[in-house]
Amino acid sequence: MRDVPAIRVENLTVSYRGKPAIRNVSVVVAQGLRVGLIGPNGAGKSTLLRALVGLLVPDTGRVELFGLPVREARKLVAYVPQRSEVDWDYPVVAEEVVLMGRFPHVGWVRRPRTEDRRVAWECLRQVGMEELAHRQIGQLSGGQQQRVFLARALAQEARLLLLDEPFVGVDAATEEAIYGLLDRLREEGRTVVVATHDLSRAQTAFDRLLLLNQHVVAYGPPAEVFQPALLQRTYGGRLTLLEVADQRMAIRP
Amino acid sequence: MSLWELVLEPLQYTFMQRALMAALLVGSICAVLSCFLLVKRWALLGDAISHAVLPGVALAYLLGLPFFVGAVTTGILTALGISAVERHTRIKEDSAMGIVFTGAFALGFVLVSRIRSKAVDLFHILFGNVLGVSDSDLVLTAATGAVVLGVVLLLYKELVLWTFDPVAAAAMGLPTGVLHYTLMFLLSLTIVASLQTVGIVLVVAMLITPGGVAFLLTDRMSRMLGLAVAVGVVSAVTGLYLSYYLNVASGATMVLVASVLFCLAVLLGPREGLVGEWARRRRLAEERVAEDFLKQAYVLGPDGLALERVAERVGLPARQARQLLRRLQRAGLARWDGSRVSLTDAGRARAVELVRSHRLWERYLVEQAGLSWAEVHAEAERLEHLSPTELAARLDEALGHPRRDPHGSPIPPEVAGAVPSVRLLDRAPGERVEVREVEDEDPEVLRALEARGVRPGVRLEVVERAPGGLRVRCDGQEVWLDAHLAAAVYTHAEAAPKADDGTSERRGL
Repeated sequence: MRDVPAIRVENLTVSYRGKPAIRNVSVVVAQGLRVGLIGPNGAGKSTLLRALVGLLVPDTGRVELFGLPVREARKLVAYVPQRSEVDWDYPVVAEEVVLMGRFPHVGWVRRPRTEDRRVAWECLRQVGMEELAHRQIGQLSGGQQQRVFLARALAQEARLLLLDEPFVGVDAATEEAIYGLLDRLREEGRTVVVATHDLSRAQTAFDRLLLLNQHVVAYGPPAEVFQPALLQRTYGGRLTLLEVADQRMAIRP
Repeated sequence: MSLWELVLEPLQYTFMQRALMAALLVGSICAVLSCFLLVKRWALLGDAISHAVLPGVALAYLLGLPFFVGAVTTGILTALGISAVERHTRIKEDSAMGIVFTGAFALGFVLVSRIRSKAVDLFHILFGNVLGVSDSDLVLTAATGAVVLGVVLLLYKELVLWTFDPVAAAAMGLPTGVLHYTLMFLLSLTIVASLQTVGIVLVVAMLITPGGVAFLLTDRMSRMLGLAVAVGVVSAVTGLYLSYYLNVASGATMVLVASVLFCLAVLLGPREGLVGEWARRRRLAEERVAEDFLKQAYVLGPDGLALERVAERVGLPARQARQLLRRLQRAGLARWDGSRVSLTDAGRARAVELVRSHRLWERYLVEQAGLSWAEVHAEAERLEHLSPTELAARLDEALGHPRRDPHGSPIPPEVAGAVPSVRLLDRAPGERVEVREVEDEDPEVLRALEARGVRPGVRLEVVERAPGGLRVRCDGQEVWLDAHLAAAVYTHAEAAPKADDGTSERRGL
């Protein structure tokens, strides 16, 4: 089981709102890696993640997670969207949201057990939110909400975590909590894919980078992939972003 | 007649016994569903399905089938029809509902008008007839209730996840489509079961209001369900009794009771309740006045002073000032020796915190936010009450530990009065002085001083004194300060040759 790749994607083409958002994407991600998914807006980062978790149906191609089709791998994957589109007035407190992450383990009809509540509490603690556990979800700040949804993903105890732009619009405390989490997840041997814009930390925070612009531009260790030519191809003619990329290049040893 | 007799008296009639049972059942089933309709924003779907039941009832009569079968069928067909219109056309959900249910309702109306039979009483279908509930109606309602409550209990956790976060539900592999149609099916069943009791038109209220009341009272779905059931049952039973004693329509009375409960929740609810909000504001305002009292007592007279002077500065009538003083005494913040107010150590510490916060905010607003020094006093007056000690520490850090506010007043722990100031008005012609502080309360005065270049740290030479004010040289220019302006300016005592000449500490913030 250890030898099976966490993600195997072959010739994946997925349309979003009638237009192909990613074309012929093929990539194999080994288990236990932290992967940074990098590309400009509209590159299809979210589409790829949503296809991996089965929220979008591919036009062509196939996805295997840990050697299983997506439908059979639900328990193995946790996904945190960029901004959860939930009703923020919903009568639910942070702790209950995290407990929802246990549902795949609890199974249909049954009630969460003491063990599930303990895991949920532990996950809340890991993101530093235990003091606000009884706060209604809408009464938390954006960063705190994001941490609650991260805790819910942790509570799923999945072997593969997909995080879509977790750093957008969050405070410094949340950002550090997320990076801390990435380290811990790797120690536990779990695989993490993070879509991000943060090029400055992409080189150090991840074991692999996947440069995406509708198709795969490059996939490999940061030292090999973080090249001006490749970044230019990823970001195309977007001047401002290129400048940013060049600046980051200058920081490289 | 005792209350107990009032409760029991109607129950000697079998029809009232049945009505009470039906009311209890309908009140609780509708309430359970109302919670999910509210969070799913399906309130209008309830309206739509309830109206669409009418053609089903009419068709069932024409075909000789039980009403129940016809009603459930058209109810579900309408729900499906709405989904179909929404999915396959560009029409959005609200319009889709409006189009489909009015069409179905009209069809029902046409059919009923064709039938013209006593067996299908339009008024009863529309507004219910709880007093005419038969045993078989009751069995049907009870069975429906068992199905609805059973499914909701079994799928509670799935329904909550799906209604809260449909994307996560789908990602975790929940069949969201199945849940969607399950809830629609339960809704249709409930509406049909409620038909006899409250009728098509009023069932909508029982499907929305109890959930609405409960939603205002709690932050948790589990409690919301319990509260909604309580509201639904209380409305149904109270409404039934009221209608019995007042001899009015029972279904409408039940809905009215629910509406009254909703009004109470709006007024008294803990989170958004108007009364709670009013009390919170009042508490906050009282808190501010108390803090101002401490601050003024500290600034005006560290060694104690008359209550009237503090009261005047805070803007409190004498009676309220005495009440406030008693409260502060009880809290161990102030003392009263029969003639003078003084602060305890704790009161002084709190006052110092406020003064510090106030002056740091003034400095911050001028330096970082770019406000003029004339405006910042009023802003800081508000902010000081809202800033915890840690925030003041952060401001202090960010500003590089300033010692004085923009008007020259010392920022605690920098102590006022260690070196006395001299009023500019008390200076003699020919004296060269340095401005130490200015009174900051009046923006007009501050603007006038600013226009003349007079601010803390500036050196002035008094040129001449006249009855209406004095002429000073400031930055090589001579400016005229009338007595009102000059009275707001305090100078460093050490720069003056005659320090004993009327020293006084400035008494402002």
